[in-house]
Amino acid sequence: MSNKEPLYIQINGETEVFRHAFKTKLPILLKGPTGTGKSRFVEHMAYKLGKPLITVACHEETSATDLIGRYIIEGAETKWVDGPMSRAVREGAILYLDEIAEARPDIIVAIHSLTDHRRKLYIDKLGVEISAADDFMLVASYNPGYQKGFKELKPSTRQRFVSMAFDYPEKDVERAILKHETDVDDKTAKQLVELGSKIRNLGELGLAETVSTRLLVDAAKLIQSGLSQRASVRTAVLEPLSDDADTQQALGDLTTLMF
Amino acid sequence: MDIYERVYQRIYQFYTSRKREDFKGNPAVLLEDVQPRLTLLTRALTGQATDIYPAEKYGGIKGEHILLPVKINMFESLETGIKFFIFRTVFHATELLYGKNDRDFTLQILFEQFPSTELIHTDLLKQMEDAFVKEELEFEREWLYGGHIEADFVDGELAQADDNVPQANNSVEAETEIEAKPVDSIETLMVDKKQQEDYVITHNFEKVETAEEFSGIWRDFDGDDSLEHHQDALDEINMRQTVRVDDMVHSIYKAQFASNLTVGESEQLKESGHFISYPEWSYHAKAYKPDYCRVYPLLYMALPNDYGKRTLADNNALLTSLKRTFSRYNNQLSKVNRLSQGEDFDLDAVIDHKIEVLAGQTPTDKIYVTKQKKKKQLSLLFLMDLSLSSDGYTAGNRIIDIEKQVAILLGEVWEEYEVDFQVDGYFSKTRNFCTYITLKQFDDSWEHGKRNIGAITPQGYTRIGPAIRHAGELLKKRRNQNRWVILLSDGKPNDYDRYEGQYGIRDVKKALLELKKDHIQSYAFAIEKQAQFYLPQMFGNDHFSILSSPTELAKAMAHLYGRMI
Repeated sequence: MSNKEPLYIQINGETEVFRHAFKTKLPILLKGPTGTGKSRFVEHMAYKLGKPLITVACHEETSATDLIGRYIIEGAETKWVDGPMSRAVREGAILYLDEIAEARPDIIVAIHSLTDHRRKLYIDKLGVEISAADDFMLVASYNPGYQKGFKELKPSTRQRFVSMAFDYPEKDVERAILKHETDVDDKTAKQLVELGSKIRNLGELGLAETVSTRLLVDAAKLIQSGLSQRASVRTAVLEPLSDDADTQQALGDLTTLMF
Repeated sequence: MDIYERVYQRIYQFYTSRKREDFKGNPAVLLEDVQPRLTLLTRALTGQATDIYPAEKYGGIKGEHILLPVKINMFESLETGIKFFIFRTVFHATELLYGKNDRDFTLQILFEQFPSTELIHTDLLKQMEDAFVKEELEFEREWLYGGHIEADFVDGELAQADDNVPQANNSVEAETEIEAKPVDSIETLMVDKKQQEDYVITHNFEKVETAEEFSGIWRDFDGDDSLEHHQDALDEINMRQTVRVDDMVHSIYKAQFASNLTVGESEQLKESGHFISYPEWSYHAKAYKPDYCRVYPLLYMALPNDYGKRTLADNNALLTSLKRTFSRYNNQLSKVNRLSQGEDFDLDAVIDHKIEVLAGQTPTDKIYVTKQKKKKQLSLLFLMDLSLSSDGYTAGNRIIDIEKQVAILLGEVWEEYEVDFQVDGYFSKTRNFCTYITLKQFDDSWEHGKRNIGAITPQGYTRIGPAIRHAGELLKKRRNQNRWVILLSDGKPNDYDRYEGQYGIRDVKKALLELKKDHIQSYAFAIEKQAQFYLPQMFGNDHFSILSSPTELAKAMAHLYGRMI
């Protein structure tokens, strides 16, 4: 666990919801586009609650075995190694499954018994069922954007969680985040936030991905370290967003207008 | 063209070439070169689906869209020309955002929000004034700020639209496509049906053919592709007036204009023939219009033809490459674990085997892995846009031919790999006549399908929503869990009655959401560069590709197949 408290500015009472969910042992699902502070929020809450956090970034190859554990051969013996989920269940940690919809369906089956009143994990390879420690908490996230990726979380799975929606922060909040994270001056923070809000207008109007607070923070960091504003924005914000020449030019025009 | 026409044309061309060209010698920036970047810029600024269109002269704001000059050559450098277009775009985007047609107010806001524009404005104004003085021309400030353009109107009611459309002549195909001069506003005229009926063939005594603006009198066409010969004459006239027809043509004189949002809705016609009614989404009312569209399902039965055979022969190399790709995907996913015999060890099973031996239990002998042919739980419905716009060209390829060839090539591969697929097409002529043609049913023979695809010709308009809804109904009957509608289209949603702009786009999105509720996925292939500005609004950012040749399209489809299974 980090010694420094990860900054998170509450927008809609989410820290309170998290605390209550933790107290009542309910799993939480965080919904929202990339870079809206979901992971930061979980880090922040783990710090506040003083609990260890185990994060798993799910992808299409992530299987239940990866989470629960597997036997490995060591010398002439076989040895069981707990996966992150088994470890979190035993130790009473907060388990954060990032982008859970991307994982293989067997993961969803594995978490079922952990998300209801049973709070148990069945490890078929050991033939045992372990009860979750008191402080164990399951947190998952997914991006519900329209036609995002080819996989979606089933409604029946979504119903097993208490849910919270995340979106890009209001301009004032985003400005405060930039200033806190990078010590950038108020004027530059304001310009970056304005640029971000304009690029976000292109969400469904011709840009595949949009700018996250994280990218704006990166740009602010580069500016703070002495790189010119335009070069910082180009390398930290524009280039990561698109490879298309027209899009690059349009975003370049926008940057020139604003910086 | 006879000798007199040739002589006249030469003389005409001699005089027109001597016509004075303003700002000669300066580099020209063409709108078409900067249109995509300006469209994105204006959308970022306004947050609306604003489009940029070429103007007759200096343009301005029209409805929610921006019209800009086709060409700017009054500046001495290309950079300044580009700056001019950017300034105009930002100026109009600000006007749209604040809903005010007040030059001073807009400039004040602009300079406050984007301080760098003040210097650009001063510089552009000075350079333009100097350029006009140098050319001894009067400087019109509208060049820098645009003018006010009235919204389009429809001359006459479209309520009885269906009766007024001249009958289609669908036995020809387009051979020539030329870009027309732009117009700021279009006017939709109704054809005088009586004059059309009364029209008798007459002999033209004039030796020189002339082009003139449409006067409401209909004439039958002579059926020649002579567009290139008459381009000079067409350039001289104002192409403001349009007539909506659904004839196939020999030549296409293509113009971009801001969509006419005032097209009327058509009345409900009396019931005739077998049709299925589907609702349509009205985004203004935020409600469905129940039983609004009539879809007529047709089972196509074509005469034998060699289109399929020719396509396969002409694209032999592509077909081989496609088969290789599909084979790779199929093999990758047909790995079967824990078998009693196989080509390789299954590592997890071997470890379990060892555990069981150490534990003193009888070990399992299922420790092998192999690649077996497994039946895919996949049903595909390939939906082709058969509207008249597919009779045009993109990157030198006729769009309908791209669609047909891709359908044939993919069908050939799907058939070989036992994919459950259907090939359909659609076109429309108002909400009362949405035709849905089945070219190859799921359980039909591929030989029939190939023949039908080969014979199909474009007609009508593009009402996508009802076609998607009907495709969804067909797919719902398939038992496979993984079901997809793959749309192959060349243009925006439109129809003879109201289906343009955001109305059509929102209805298509709604139809796709309906599919999603039924666990049917969707993907679109578009054959038009401009599609990047409207397809994401319908299909989302991750569910479409824009391509312009059969090779690109077939390869993209093969890649998509890999993601589907």
